[in-house]
Amino acid sequence: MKFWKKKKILIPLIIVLFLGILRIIAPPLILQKINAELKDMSPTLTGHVADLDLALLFGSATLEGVTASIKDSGKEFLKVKSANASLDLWELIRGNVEVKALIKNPDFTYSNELMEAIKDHVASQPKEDRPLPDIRVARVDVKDAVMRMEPYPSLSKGGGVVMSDVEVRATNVIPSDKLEKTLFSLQGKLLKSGDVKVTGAAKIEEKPLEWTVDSEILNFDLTSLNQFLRQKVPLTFTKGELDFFVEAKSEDGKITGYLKPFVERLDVVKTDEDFKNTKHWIFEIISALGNIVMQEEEVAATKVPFVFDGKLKAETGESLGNAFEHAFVQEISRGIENTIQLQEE
Amino acid sequence: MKNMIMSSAILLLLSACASKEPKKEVKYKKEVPQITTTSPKPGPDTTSLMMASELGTDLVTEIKFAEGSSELGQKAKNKLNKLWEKALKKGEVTKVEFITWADKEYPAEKKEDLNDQQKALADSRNEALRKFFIRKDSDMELVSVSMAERPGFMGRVTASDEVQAKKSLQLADIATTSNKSGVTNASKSIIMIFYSE
Repeated sequence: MKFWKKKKILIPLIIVLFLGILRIIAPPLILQKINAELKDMSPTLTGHVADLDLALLFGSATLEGVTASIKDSGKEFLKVKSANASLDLWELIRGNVEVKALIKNPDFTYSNELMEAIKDHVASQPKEDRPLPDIRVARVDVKDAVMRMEPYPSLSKGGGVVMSDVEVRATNVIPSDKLEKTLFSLQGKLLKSGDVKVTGAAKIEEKPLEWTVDSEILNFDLTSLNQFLRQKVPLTFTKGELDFFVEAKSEDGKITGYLKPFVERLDVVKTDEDFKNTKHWIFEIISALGNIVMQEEEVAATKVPFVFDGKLKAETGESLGNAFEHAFVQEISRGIENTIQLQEE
Repeated sequence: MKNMIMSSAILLLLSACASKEPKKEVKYKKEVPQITTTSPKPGPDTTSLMMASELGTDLVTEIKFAEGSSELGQKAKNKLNKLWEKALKKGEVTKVEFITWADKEYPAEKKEDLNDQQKALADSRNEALRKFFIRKDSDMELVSVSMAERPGFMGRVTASDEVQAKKSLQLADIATTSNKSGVTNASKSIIMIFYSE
């Protein structure tokens, strides 16, 4: 008997051959199917994948050159260098589908046109609640993302980039009955200046959705807002640094929380400013007043509790009281207070 | 007008000096997901919580070993007992996984191998944890992961528990022997309890 006809050689050989053939044939077929699905996924939005790579041994697939655009105008709003999804093969053997994803270099552009397209897309979807698929998305990582805001070109220094170096992690994205919370975190750079961090948890199967978020922006250079502010409100900064903290939650459709802004080394007067109108001029006077009363190393701070119940209610009286307390009694401390949590069942 | 009066009032108020010291804040590194707080929550950090959530449990704690030691101190034992009691209330414990560091950070790059002494330290810390839990229940699965060494080829191919934990932590940009910017974990152990309801 020839050596390759022996059973212990033949069976692995057949498996290797089968995997090899599958590796060659499957990607173009799957890619075609994915692109057909993406093309017709919505009446207003469409998507495309340039290439697909399969690693059968590791149970993973990588999509390369993913783009999404608005159907009518063809305007691209999302570009992704690569998106990898891997199946946990041990879980698969146990009968559970568990997926982990890694998305690299996504570049997202927000526009008013996109918002309209999303609204139309949502309206076209069936109204009844669809159950979540019977898979567990254990982890999604996003690396080096960029977010752009098209409606506010003046908000950014170049290319409309509002957030850069964005890293996102979400775990237990499609939760199980046992583990009902999805956890998430985000880190990034705001307008190439402030360091942004967000962490939180959400119960995505609750109706309405329940979530809690802690966030901070540190060392944000207020002058990076000048170009934008000049167009919107009559206020500009020659210097000033902002630290900003938020703690909030949404439960039973009501959002409650507080903001804590800290402003340092503020200088709100710009000597060569062109005053556009009387309102602009009045604000400049107020700014000047601010500069007179704020000394070089002083920190202005307050805590603003708020409730959003269809309408935003900020506790102005309490904010003023907090600013008073910060100034005369005890300085407000920087940081979240860990006082807002979702109710545990 | 009302807004303007309010703004002026606030600015004047802010110009005064506070007479008491502020509450001390706890600030974390820029690369770490933790947010500056005035009241730190007891318990594991965000990276550990998220890894546990990814692996399928909400029962997780962290303990710290004394430098060079693999002995479980009383504080660590209390933490582990508390977690164990919590698990018993939730259901039947099926698996306990502990991920333990030596006194040095994880060696992320091939050339950064830790020495044998450090590898042995991480192993003996895991052994101490294994002994602690085996006394509680000898039937459950115990998985120990040493963060003193990188996963081997077979581990990578079979996507073992060890590889999954290490990959999750590496993607979360934990500190390594060459890059100290992420979460520092030297001398730490993360303990997760898995259960069925």
